[in-house]
Amino acid sequence: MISVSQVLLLLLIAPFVQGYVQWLKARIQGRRGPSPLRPWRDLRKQFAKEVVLSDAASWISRLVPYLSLGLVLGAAACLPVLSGLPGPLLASGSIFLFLSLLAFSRLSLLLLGLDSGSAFAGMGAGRDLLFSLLVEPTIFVSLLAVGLPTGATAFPGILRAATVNAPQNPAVASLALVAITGVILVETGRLPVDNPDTHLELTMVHESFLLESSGRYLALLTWSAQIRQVLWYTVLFDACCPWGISDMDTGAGLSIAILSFVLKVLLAGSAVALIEGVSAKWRIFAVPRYLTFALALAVAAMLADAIL
Amino acid sequence: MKTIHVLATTLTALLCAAITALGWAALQGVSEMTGPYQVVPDSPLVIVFRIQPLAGLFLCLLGVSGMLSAVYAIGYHNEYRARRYGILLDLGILAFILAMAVVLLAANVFTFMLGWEAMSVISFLLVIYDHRKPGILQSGLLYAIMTQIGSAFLLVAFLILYAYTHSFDFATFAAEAHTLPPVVQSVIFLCSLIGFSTKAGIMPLHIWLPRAHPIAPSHVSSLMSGVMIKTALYGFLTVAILWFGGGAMWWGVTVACLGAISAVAAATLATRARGIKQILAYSSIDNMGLIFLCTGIAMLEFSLHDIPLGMLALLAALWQTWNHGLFKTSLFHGAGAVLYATHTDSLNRLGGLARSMPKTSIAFFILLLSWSALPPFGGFSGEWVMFTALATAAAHHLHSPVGVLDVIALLALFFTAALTAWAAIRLYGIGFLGQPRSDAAQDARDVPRTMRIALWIGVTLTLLSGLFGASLIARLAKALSGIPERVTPVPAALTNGPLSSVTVPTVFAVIAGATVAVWALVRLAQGKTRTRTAPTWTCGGERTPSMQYSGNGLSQPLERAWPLVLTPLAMRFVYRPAYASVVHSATFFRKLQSGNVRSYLVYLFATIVLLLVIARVGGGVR
Repeated sequence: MISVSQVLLLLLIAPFVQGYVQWLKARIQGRRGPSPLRPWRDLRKQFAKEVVLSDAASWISRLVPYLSLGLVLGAAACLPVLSGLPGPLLASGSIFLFLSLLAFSRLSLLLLGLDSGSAFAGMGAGRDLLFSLLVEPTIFVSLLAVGLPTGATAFPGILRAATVNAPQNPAVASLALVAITGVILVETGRLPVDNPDTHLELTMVHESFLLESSGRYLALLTWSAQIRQVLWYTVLFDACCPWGISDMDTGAGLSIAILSFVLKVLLAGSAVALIEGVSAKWRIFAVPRYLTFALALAVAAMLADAIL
Repeated sequence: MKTIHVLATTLTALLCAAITALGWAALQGVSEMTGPYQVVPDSPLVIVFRIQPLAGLFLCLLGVSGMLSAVYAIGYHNEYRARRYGILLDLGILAFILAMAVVLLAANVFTFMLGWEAMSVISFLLVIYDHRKPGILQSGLLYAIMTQIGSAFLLVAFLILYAYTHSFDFATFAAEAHTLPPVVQSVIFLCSLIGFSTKAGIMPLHIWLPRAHPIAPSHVSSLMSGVMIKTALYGFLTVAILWFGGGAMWWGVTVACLGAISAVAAATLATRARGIKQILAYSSIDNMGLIFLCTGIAMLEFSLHDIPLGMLALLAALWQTWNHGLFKTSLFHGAGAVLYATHTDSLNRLGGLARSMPKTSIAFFILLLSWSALPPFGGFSGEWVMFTALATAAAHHLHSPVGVLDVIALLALFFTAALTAWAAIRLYGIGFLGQPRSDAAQDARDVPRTMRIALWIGVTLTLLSGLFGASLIARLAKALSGIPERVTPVPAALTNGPLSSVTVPTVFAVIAGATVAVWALVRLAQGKTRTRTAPTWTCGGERTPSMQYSGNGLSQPLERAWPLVLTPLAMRFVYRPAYASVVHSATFFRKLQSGNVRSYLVYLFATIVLLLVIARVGGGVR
């Protein structure tokens, strides 16, 4: 029950989080910006529209929009959002399963892009694969850095380790925090890595796969991207700042958990908006250097517990 | 002609069924011996067979993979039969499977080397089957040379063992090997490592593999990649773990490092190879790398007397062996289907196959998911167990120097996984999606039914071993519980995660359920999808297939960002010098070959004199 309500919560607030970040970013840049509810309205509009498929498209283009959302929902079921109990989570919240499901959704998205034979998608795919090559080890190592001192390779264990360890070993938590933040900026397609506001071929990474999608397919894909963004925020909370998550099924504990989760998401969104507001896009080949730095931090976090 | 073909295929299928049954019996703990059959009276040339638990998994893999290839061959041989020499191929496959079975069942040196050499020679002949095409003989010859170098090292290892134990029997080796002087043990280990890793395609001895696998007929590549390179792993496990119980600490470290390097480097090369079969060949090297990595960790743990952790890593290695064998067999069958339909396997000449041969391409897609270790397929299960084994070892040794090796192993695993995903997306996205890049790809049609049946059986098997792998791992753990001579239960770390029998089926149900639910809800709320077809957007210009990204283009960012990994170190520091020294010494000795009859007479005379002197002196000493 908790598991399903967690997934539904993520499903519902995801478009709003996207809208909030866009709105705040516009404010920081001195613009008025669209309403935070804008992504919701976009989704509603797109769902009602006709689908235009490329003449080169195969069954991949028809399958992936649904599969992608299904995979993201499955990944959401692996994550402790409100309650840290392992019971209701898929596969007891194993990080390997969680990251594999996200990798699956990445693979299906890239194939969707290549399915239409668009050169933009090919370009974006090469770039995204280059980033993911460094992102995946980084996120794995950061999560293990938090969990391994207590032998945990699943989110509930990591959560417990973070709650117990964070005051004892702030070095691990803070190094992991910086590394995971770096990963989040890449994975959610934010400046300085990717610009979510343009469709310019020179800068596009994540947008390029969706270029040929339309109608309800586009709506599903956008929605799953928005959920993925909230999932990454949640990973950060679980590993580095698990405040407010309750182990109890009482009404009070649950409402505190929901409240603190929403607050944390808004805080993370504000931080992302701030970073986006003040930074410029980097060259594609500067990004691997930045990611290598994040990976180094993650490895340092892993060693920090052994050394400090 | 046709009758012989049917007969050979039926025989192969029966043989494979028997092998699978034997393997299953071995997994149940049956351990029996047959023989000795004396080949030459009063000599060590004795054939002895024995089934043992460790070989069980390999035998099952051989049986299943051989069976799939036999079914596949019915359709695939059409082309060869048209050229009227298909029958040799049928018989060759049969002999090849038989030779591999001999290797896995051997219980003494003679039987093992007999099987090993037969396996090498037959596979060499099968590789050069299309010898009239340019370049095939050279690649085949390289394979023959490398495999003979490997065999030579194996023979040295066995002879040293004989010198100390005065027996050619594997049982004696197992009983007495660990009593040998440590230096001798290490020499034997190094010889067997070189010998077996040549066959397994571990870097830097891999160079034959990416050349030999792509040119062989596809089901031969399947058997080579799916099973043959695993027999080398079996041999290595026999020597390193069954006989020496893991050996000294540095053995495990060496094996793990070699495995990690092979995994990452080969996965990198797989992302830029041009042909489908070449990509798959590199991916075989990287999977063998991962398997050797886990084997190395297992040896290290055994040498530290940490038996449960060692068992866990060994199980991970074996479980990945099984899964890789399954999906790689079928992937090569899929590559063969592409070759059959288009007569090319170069990515830059393919494209659009998902539309022109949908039935084949869906099967290939699922195999690809298994290859990229995505849930809920076999490859995922294998990688999950590896992850669990390495993470558990890392957690255990976090505060000791050994932990550093475990962390490196984990990093190698993650990088390999990410690179494999890259190679898989590139293979499918360029080869099967988009617009056809050549007429051959445009005119491709689905392949004959028997080939598709073999593919779909492979798909089913990899799905089943992903979903219900838990019970097979438990069986494996039980069968191996005697190694090394200590009873070990199923490692506890597995029972919560991958080994829990409900985990992966639940995951599958949740994902499939969520996907279908989303579809149903959208359908319910908005009605049927209204679709319209339009050309892909090309900024208003005229559209040609060559405007799509090519295989080279998709891997270019990696080449630019990570040039270091692509440096051909082995080529520069091992093979070029070796080749140069062979040529150099040949030039030197060519001076002897003057072509003058009189000088040859002098050589003859000198040789006879020398022999007489030796005989005289030698006789005097005795």
